[in-house]
Amino acid sequence: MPNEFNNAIMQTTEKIKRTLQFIPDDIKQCCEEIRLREGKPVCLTVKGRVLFVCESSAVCDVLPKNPLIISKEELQKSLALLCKNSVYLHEAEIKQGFISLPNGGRAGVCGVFNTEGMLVAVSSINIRIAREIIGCANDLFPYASGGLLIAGPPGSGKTTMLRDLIKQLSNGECGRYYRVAVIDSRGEISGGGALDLGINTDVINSGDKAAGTQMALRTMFPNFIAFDELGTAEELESVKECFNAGVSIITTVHCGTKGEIFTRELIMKIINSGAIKTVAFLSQNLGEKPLILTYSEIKNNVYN
Amino acid sequence: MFTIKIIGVLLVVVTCSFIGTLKSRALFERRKKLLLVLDGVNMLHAYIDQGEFELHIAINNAFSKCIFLRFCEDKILCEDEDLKNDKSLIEEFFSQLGSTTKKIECDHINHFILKLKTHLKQSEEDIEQKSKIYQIMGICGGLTAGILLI
Repeated sequence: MPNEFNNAIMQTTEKIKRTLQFIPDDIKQCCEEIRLREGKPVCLTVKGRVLFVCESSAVCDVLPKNPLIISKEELQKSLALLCKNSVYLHEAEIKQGFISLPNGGRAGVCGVFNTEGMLVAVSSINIRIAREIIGCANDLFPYASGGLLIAGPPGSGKTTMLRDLIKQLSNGECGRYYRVAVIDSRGEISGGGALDLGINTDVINSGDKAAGTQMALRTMFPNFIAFDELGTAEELESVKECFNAGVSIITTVHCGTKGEIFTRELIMKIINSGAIKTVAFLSQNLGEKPLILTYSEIKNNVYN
Repeated sequence: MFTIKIIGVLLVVVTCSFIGTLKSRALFERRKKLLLVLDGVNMLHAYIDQGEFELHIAINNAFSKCIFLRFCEDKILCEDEDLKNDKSLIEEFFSQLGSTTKKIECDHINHFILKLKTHLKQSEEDIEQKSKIYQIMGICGGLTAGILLI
């Protein structure tokens, strides 16, 4: 994990790199995000808490006297470095507010966008560190057949769990080898090929998840189709089609509280369609076991 | 003694002519290298317009023939005596690449191509005007020095 942190800071400026590389290893190990803001101190998100980085590489949970402040030029340079000095290659992503990083990481960017939707002045960068936690989906694979929806707030580890589940299903760790098709719209699941998704996994890098799902269904004949962040009506339709074709869907959805599962229209629609038999709710407390809600429990609204 | 004098004079004439030829040749070399840079820039434009390669790969592919360009960590240096008048233009061009959108990158390249063509035209004028002069000056200088020595 310190390696993953060190990899993430490699694409920042010399000053940031020099300071962050000397922060304590236990912080590096648990760090989920590095936040760079113009004229503001560098912040780390560690186990959901915000920590500030001092110029001396010390880390504290209150604003220190000598915080590491990021200038406009450094932020601009960091953006270019995150794009490997090829901003033009990441235009489509930047228009959506992120940059895919090697090893499955992702950097969120915000600032001033022009009328064409392109970022013209960056004001914040949030570098998310992708983690591979082997075995974190052990509690989930019995529920994967029949459709599984992993719900949780941002940063709760949905993608990490999805990745591990894909790997376990693909590698035969669930009793047999399953064919898994992954629709990786932002390269976050496969890390652009850098992360292991198992021996029996086919990855479709398609920006359009609904189209990717159709493609996988028609051409790869998978047992499972997995993708991250269900969000549109088209994706919902494609999930229903998979269900009708006898293919199980594993996907994730943003969901702040477990109560939201019952109130969010999209979630209820997908559950009512029968394409999802189980919802696993992850809390913000990393390491906590997911709350498993079966189809009948949701239909009977037992948790509300 | 006379033979030694003749050999000495010939040596001076040949050396001066050689220097003149070298100076004249440098003008041709400059033009040749600028043409290589122009080819590279046109290729780079195509690579960026395609949007398939990262900048460093695109530059490496496009400028593979420009052995006079040195690829450092995050910049490209032009360390060539023939291109001393174009050094700042070329280095500045490379330093401004990679930080913006495809459209602006392409505009930047087109702008550089225009400037490069001006330099190219200048080099061609230099060849026309100065190349012969250098050669003649070399030979004449050599002969004058030879006559003076005699």
